[in-house]
Amino acid sequence: MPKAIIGLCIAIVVLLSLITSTTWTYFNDTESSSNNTFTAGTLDLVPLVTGSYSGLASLYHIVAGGNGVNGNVVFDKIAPGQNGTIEWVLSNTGKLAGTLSIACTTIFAENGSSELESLATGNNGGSNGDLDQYLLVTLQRGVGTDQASAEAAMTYILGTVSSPVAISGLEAVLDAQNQALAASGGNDTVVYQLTWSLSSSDPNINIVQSDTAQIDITFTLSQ
Amino acid sequence: MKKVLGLSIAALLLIGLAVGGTFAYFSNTETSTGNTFTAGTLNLTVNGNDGANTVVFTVTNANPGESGAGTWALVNTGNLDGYIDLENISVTNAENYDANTDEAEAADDSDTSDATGGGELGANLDVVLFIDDGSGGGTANNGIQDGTEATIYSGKLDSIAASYDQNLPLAGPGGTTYISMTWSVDSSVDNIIMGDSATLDIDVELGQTAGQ
Repeated sequence: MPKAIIGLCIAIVVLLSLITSTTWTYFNDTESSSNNTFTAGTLDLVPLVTGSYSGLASLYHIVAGGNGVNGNVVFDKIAPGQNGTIEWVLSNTGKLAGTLSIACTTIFAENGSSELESLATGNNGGSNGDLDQYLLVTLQRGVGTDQASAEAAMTYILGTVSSPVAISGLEAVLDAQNQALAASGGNDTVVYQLTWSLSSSDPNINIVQSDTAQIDITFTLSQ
Repeated sequence: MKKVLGLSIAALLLIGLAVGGTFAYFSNTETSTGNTFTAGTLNLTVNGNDGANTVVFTVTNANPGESGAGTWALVNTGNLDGYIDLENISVTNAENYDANTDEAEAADDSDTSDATGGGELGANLDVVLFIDDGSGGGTANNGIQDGTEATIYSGKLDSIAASYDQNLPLAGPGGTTYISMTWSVDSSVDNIIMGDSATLDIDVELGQTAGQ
């Protein structure tokens, strides 16, 4: 190999080496932007069921329910002149505001027709019972930062204390609910309070004997 | 053809995204099902009859010196406690006079016509209406007022009151009590009652409250 070629090759290698080394000699500054985090918000509806009853305590059962746990109130053997309440306390414990909607189903049953019911004018024995007409209710709603402030803010959305209405109207009112709830820490709590009474002045009240009324409610808090 | 196929797939994807998107938002559902109201029941049976009239006394050919008794067995078959009252009590007398056979009555009875209050049996029939519950060592449902069984009324049948608010507690279901009535015609009563009849009507009320 001629010396000239060897010298040329060495020269090229040296040159390349110089060029490569030179890139490490320019100014350089590095900054970091790490831990950029995305955390999903939360929506969490927590229901609590309470109630009261003017009759015997043994004929009144509450399951308070809770987060993911069904709660309800059962009034057994109600009689004319009695009254009571059911209160649903719904709190958004999540970090996002949401809108509460309600799906309500009311179910009425006759449970057979006794002699006294048969004698009552208008009895629809064997059909869907008569509590839908004779069980009178009011419904109030209040929104606040907690249960107490929500209760203090309650206003009637069905009937009034002086003019309760038949429970048959409850389903439509609850189904129409579209209640804004703030994220936890704001006006995150809504209270629905149902009061009920069974008339002691209606001469036809025997018509409801053994009849039942059931309220099934699904609460949905949506983004 | 490839272009059309491509457009169709794109359209389907777009629709899928749009529909799928509505289910992607946050939501939380809670339930409160089974909130239940059940009305209680009150139901009274008398001697096992529910809604049918109960005849306790069918006395024929009663005469001076004779006596007897009858009992109303009252059962609350409902599931609520209640209270027993006696209401709408009435007595109806009739002469049933037959001039062909009842001349003996006419001898002692100056009025054999129903036009002026009917016959005289009610005015001469002694009755004791009492709670035959066995109180104070007595025996229930025996038609005899023994122990300390309480008297509701004692006197002539005609003078019985129109109602007695006894407010006898009768628990449901199955609470039972007895009301009995003894009757007698004193041997001093003469022919004035011959052939006469007296009909006693009573309503037994089971009420939810003592105030009814």
